[in-house]
Amino acid sequence: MKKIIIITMLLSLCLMIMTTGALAQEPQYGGTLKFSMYSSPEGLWIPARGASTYDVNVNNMVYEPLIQLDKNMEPTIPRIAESWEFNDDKTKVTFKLRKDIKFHDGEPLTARDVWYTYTQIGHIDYEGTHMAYNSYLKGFDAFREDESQRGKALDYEAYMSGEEDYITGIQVINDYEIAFESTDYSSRMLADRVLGIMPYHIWKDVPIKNQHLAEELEKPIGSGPFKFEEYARDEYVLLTAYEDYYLGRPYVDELIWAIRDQEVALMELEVGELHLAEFDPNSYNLIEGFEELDVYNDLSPVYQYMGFNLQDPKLTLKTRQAMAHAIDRQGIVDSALLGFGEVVETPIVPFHWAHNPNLEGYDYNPEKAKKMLAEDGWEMGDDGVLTRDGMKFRVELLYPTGNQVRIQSAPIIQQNLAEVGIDARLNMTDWGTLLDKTERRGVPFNADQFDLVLVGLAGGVVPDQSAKYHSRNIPDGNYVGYSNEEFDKMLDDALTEPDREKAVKLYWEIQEVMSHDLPVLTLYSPNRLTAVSSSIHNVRPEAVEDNDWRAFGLVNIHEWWIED
Amino acid sequence: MYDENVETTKEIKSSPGTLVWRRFRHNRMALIGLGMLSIIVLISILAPLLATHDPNKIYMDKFRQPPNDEHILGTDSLGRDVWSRLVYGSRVSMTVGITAVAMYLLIGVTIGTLAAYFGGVVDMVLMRLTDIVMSFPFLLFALVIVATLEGEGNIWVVMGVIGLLGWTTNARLIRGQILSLRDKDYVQSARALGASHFRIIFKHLLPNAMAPVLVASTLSMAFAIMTEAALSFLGMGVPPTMASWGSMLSEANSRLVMDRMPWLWVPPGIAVLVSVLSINFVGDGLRDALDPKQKNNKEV
Amino acid sequence: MRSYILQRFLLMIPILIGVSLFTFFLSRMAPGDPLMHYTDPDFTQEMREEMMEKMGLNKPIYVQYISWLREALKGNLGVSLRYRSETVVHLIREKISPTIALTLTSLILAVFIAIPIGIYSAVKQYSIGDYIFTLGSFLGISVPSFFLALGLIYIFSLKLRWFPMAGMQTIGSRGGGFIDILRHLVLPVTALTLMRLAAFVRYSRGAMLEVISQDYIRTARSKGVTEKIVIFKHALRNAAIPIVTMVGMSIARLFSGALIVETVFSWPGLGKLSYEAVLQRDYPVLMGTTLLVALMVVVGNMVADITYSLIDPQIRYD
Repeated sequence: MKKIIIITMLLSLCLMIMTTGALAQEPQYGGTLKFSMYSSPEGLWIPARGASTYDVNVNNMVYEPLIQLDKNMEPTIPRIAESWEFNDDKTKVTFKLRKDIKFHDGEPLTARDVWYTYTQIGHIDYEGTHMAYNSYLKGFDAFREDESQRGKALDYEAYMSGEEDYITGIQVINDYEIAFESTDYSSRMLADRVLGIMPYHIWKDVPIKNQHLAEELEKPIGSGPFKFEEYARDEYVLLTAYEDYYLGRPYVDELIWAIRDQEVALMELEVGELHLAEFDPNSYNLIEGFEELDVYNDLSPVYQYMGFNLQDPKLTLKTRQAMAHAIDRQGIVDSALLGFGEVVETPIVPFHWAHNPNLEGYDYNPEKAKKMLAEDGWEMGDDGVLTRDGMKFRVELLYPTGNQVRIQSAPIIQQNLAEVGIDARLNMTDWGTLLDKTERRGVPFNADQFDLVLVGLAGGVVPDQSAKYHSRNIPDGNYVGYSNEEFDKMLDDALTEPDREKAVKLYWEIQEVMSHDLPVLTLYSPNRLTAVSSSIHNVRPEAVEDNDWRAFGLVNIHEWWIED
Repeated sequence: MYDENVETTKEIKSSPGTLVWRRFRHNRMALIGLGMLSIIVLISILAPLLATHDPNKIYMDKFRQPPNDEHILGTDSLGRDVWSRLVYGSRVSMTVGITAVAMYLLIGVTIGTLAAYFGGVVDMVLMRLTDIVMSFPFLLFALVIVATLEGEGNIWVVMGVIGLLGWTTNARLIRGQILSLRDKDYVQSARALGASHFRIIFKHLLPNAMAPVLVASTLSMAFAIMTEAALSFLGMGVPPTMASWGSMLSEANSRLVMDRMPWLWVPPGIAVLVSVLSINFVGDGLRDALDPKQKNNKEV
Repeated sequence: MRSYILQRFLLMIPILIGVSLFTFFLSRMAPGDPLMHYTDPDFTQEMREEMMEKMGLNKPIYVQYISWLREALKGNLGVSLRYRSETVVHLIREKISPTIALTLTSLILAVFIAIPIGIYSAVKQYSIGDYIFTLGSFLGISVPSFFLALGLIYIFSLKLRWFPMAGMQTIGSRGGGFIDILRHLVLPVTALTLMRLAAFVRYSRGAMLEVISQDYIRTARSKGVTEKIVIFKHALRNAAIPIVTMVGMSIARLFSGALIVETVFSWPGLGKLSYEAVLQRDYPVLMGTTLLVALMVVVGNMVADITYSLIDPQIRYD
């Protein structure tokens, strides 16, 4: 039986019905699910701190979030929170929690635990990357600078008795109700409530400062579908089914994440030692031949782009637009990605609710590019390189090691640019060197650091583009140096627009401006290719994970079962 | 024993380079090695004439094609002509390999000889330096050097890094050898006869100590070629488009290629093997030819 | 002799300090920092600096070095910046046994396979057998190690299914057991042994050739001593010096070779730990592993030096 299921986010729903209908069988209990990941987790099983994607894989299984994103990246799916409502000006959201959820050690999960999970973000000793999840809440700034908290743990009793305020914007109403209040409306309010909830009774005595050294990390307790059993660094993570999971005990007994080299993982997949592995397009021809595997081909939120150094006098607006026409982005998708991906015209990915599908974009048209370059004052020199005001059009294309497809795309771009008379020198460096040349910290921005840079980003749940393109973030996040006052205002307005329809309109306009001004040229979004053993049933790849939905959709993992 | 040695040394003195060549010529494998090496060097010089395509030209519609009339060794993962890249790759790989080996020899032999010959404090200091360099994290060192010199894509910086970190083996080997020779009778007598340090080192010690060093150096050529590839792979080597055998091999690092696309890895693999083998045969031949006792040995 | 050994031991201190000083400053000079992989746009510059401060990474480098040294002398090598929950000492302790199992087995195998081949090749120089071994050993170093490892898995695990593909033990079986670990050890050890074999064969062949041509061997032969005794008693004893040097030196090389093998076979060892420490700029782990390698290099070389004098009484250490 050779069965390749090609599912896209848009088609997934109807396909789902077809496949599940075809495979209507009685689920079986038992067995061990074996997945692979390419690198070892950091072992920081603290969802509130943020860690590598590998840690998130595990945290998603062990911890349960309040709410979850749907396939359009909207936080609409209830998990621990059975319902929530906003106040009139949408500055406050109150969550009602389910009462039937217990942690793996049998303790019930209450508002206290939600309070604990979120309040630690912003504590003076907090060492994590999720600061933005709370930054707009009432009383956050005061709490963040509260020196008296140094070295302390969070004390729920002190909070309830009014002795300590902590973050005034996080308000426990009763055991099963908790509210989050912000100073102004923030579109992030709901989307940021997707972190796994940690048990207060386990962590209460651990000072925030020492969390990462706590022995509680050896066997973290959560309320997710799987219990944490064992972590052998560089080898595997072993989880076991949680009998009392509120959505029902998982069908499988064990879940293992083996840490494997990508090539070896594919071989293990072939012999049935593994059940699931992601792979890159280059391996598709190989995987395709394996009969016992289903291949899932989904859109991913990751996109690759080419950033322009806007301080560079060569890279004027019309020149940038011409370069966009000169680069054969579809060719890159067809050749380097073997068609598993699509050209994108905006950093907001196609399946996002804020995506603007009406952008005209830039088709591959070298003749048009040449014409536009000529209009912008460039003249072809004898050596085949364009010249303007005595300046040769020579640039450096900087890109990091790692991503194979990106590495392949660089010479293609170089050749495309050469065809219209732009001489691009390739410079591949390790990531640290690249960051030093682009987001060089604390050094005033200048035109010499880089010319063109190829990097990838995972598009955010929140469609906000301020971190990368708001002028206040020059030269850090906005290292290309895009400065447009009107655009800044649009970003600010969109972020604080409570009305969804108005917000969508604002984001459409934002994307139009970006597509015209081209601070960066978005290139392509690669698909996420996952091979899953055919013996696994109920796989629903389109389901989106919580705060890190780069992972394959394991949201309904408790429903997966293995056929003998 | 003493007399015999003096005689042999005399013989060497009376017949310079020609004798070495005459001995070398009698070694068939060494000659074959030299021949192959010359062919490879010739190929790298004549690369523009031998290449059928521009080695960096990307044929967008011809990714990973098996060998055919147009591309005799097929195309790689970017649709570039494998044969042309192989031919041009010889330039980078041979330069890196030979330069690195030369640096290993020069630095390693100098330090090892000085340490063993003079002993005492000199030995202590030089050998501790060797120990320190030997325990350096190679990658970190390469990273810092390349970044500080802004040497990304500069082949000379890359060769320098490889050369600067690889000589320690030679230094220790030659030191061990010379330590064991230093107190031998014929060296003692040469010293008693008033020979200069220079003369003792070059006439009596080095020729007798070179065997393992030549072996080590010729072996390290393959190491240097592979290291260049690894560094390029990590973004610290030659420019990404520049073809080298090592980078061609490391680009082919996958099961798919190993299994289904032998034209991507067999040609550069054979190229590396042949050049490393040739260099080693030449090294063997050279060692035999330089060895003053070799002639006598043949009579046994 | 005893005072020589003592002296060498004392000399380890300046070496280790030298290595630590070099590595410390080199690692801070390298572009990037431990937070460079946090690319989330929400993680702003301000937060980044705050976190660097909490990790103690924004003080002047020499201050950082002095406080590192002070702690290191007490046996505290700090906490990993990547595995925030682990101390460096713990990580090294966790990884050292798998790596030693892997490298030591390979080293012993390589030496015991290579020396007989080397002797054979030297005695029968330019024979068909010599050429076959020469060609074979060069095949070993001309194939990239990644290919070699992958090829072994392909043949022996995927096609023949003789050995497990990766890992140190069967997952889920909990504990693994000696036989289980042994089965997992076969392929990685084979790969690592093959990687070192070529060099060892060439060295021992070269060393033997050198010795065989020496006068005393000819004297022994002319005196009618049997070939066996000539080779094994007289020649091997003298060829041992470069062979011992080579073994002493390969300790550092073995560790770098272990890196690829450990990665491909998911073998939880030190090679991978130190490699990732460089890529992730995990300074404390980097310092710890570098010092460990330095220690082994120094000890290895010292043992080699002392062995010289045991093998060859002519070498004296005053």
